[in-house]
Amino acid sequence: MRHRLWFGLAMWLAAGSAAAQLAPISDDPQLRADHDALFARVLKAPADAALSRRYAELAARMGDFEAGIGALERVVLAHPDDWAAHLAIGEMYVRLGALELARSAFERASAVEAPEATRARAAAFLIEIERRLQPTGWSFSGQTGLRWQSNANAAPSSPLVRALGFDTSLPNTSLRKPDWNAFVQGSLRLVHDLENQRGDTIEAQLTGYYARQFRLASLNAGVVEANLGPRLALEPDLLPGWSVRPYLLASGVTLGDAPFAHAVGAGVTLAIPLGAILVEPGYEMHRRIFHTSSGMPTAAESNGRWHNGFVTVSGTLPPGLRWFARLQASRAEARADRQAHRAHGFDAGVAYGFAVPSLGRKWTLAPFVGWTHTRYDAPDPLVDPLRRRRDREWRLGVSLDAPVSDRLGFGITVQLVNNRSTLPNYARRNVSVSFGPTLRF
Amino acid sequence: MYGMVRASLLVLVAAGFSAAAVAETVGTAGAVSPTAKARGAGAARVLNVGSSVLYGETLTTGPNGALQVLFVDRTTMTIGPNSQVVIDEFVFDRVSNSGRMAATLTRGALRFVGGQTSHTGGATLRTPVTTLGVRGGVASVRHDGASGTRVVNHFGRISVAGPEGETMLRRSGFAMGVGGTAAGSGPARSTRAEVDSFADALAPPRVAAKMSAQRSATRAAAQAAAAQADAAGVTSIQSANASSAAARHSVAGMPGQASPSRQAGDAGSRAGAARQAALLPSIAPPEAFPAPPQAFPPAPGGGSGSASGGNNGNNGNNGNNGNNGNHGNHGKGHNR
Repeated sequence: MRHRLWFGLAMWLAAGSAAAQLAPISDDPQLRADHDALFARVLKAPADAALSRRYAELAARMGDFEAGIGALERVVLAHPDDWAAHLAIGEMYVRLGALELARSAFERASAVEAPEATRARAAAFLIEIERRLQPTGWSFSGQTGLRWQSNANAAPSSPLVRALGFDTSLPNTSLRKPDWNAFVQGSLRLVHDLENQRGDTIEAQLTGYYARQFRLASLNAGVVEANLGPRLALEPDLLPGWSVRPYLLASGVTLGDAPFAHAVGAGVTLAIPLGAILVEPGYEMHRRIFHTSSGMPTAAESNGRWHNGFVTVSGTLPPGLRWFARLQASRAEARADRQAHRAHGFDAGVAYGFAVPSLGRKWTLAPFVGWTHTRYDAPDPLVDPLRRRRDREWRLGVSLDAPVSDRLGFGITVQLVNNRSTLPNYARRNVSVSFGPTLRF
Repeated sequence: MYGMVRASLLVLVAAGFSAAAVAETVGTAGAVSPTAKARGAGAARVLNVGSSVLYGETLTTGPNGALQVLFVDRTTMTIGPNSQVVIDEFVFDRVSNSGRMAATLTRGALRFVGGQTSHTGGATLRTPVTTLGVRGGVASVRHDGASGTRVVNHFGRISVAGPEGETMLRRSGFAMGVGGTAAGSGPARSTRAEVDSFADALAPPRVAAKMSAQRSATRAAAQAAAAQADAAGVTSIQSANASSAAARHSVAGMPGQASPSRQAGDAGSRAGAARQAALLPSIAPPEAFPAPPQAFPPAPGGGSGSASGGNNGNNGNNGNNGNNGNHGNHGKGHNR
């Protein structure tokens, strides 16, 4: 019985994956009837190029690109200089992922005798195809700019806080302070195709962030993280598209331009395509070392492993709407129980792309939301020996990505973070606005 | 062979296939350039556009001929010059849209673009040295006695059975050889030269020569444009080789991260003025450059965007480093 259940599950998953593989062919009964009727006419009059073009258009509309390709390849066999047909053949091969054949078709559509518009469109496809057929691909995305925060020092919302279990007032120097910073962030990514049939790759990513405060220099912050690991297909025949990626990671954090923490670790993620949805569960372990300093004499109490399990689900909804949701649960071990904690939460967002005709570009508006509940293992006697800290943090924001050229753009992000805590010391709220030019290649 | 196929078809009829499933006419000569012949049980006949193609027939093209057969299940088979193909079997039920077919390439080259049979029961292509099982796909096949058989998978999956066992071609653009001098080659990515040579082998020599000249001119122009763009500091073909996997899954570029898929969108924007040239308006322009159906999924941003801090922001017991320390709280880096 158990084996049958597993077999049934495997078949269901395989069916979902297979559905993701093949271009969906419409089940619309009217379209299908039109298609069948037109095909019957094509069978009787295959030399009728206009009929074959109409049939190809209908087949493409149904998602039956193979039928469309067959029809137009018939046309170009009889009319080798039908540039529009070559262009359409290339586009349909692109839809099937047959990039080499698509390239051949676009090269034919780029003949000097072809109309300028046809050649321009074919050239755009050729650039993208060349990029995709490279075994090693680099990509970079980054932004620099200014960020304003209403509560840059993460001060409590109320000046009344707890200390040693008693109510007390914060001195004016510790109250909430707005500030600007200048920031730079970037992510460099490498994917090297191992050129085997499984489609295995080696992937590496380097991510960095640095912010320099205008007034509160002690809060200048920097983060750098790198990870490296292969992405391996699981079982290409039974589970097409499924892969696993084990990786090593290392990271470092600075605060006030001094080392604050560093970590090494490892992780593993799965990629599971189910129809139009990609599911990515994963787990990471970081061994974290916090650096003690005169400003943070007890930082080393937080040393320990950080375990993080997560599931990211993402997909696309027409028209031009992408979405993601991410659930995660973590456990931070620490030398001192008062620093050890568990957390769980979620993040979710959508990205809506819309054309800006005057610029000939597509901008993306992306609202997002997140929530995290954090529960500490033990009270902190320095704050309140009888009350354990529990935080509930909400994050809400929206970002706009506005490309102005192939590589350059402008990005704006507005975000509200509100943290409620069992201890007033940690109840806080912050509004931030960041903006600046973006670069990607 | 003819008798065996006949017998198998009769068995299928007896097993319940509708009479429509068994038809002598399996397709039509969709295009003929300039001549091709068919020989069945009787004398050879010249195929013209619109001529019926019958199962069991041997289709032959001369040194200047090419042929496209349009099967009733919407499969198309483009047969190049100096080729010979035998239609061994064809069973198709129009009601259930399912069936199976088999053909033998004795010599020459063909491109198979699958229809309903390859999506359901499967299509079998044979050469003297191998048997290819095509599942839902597009394939190019070439055979000659000295070189053996070369097969390129463009879409779908192909099982390649030969003297050394069975191999599955499952990735688009991958090819292998069986028999002759091609034996043991692959599976490996098909070279650009091989794809070009297949294109040439499937067209009449006059067209192939013209295609070759066009290709050379197009590539020379592209190289010149790339060199000019490089000199001007603009993205060239060679430098625009960002991660294809990342580009396929632009969801990775949700808030806080730049979307690597935008490059494709930009390419489409450049071509915006050219859209009127499209023959098929229903096909999306390049900004919707789709994930190939066999796309290998990308890295989900290394699994997370979490910096080492994890919940660092919550660790400062003086409450002063929260906003700056929590960059890694949640993988997408929204709070940067």
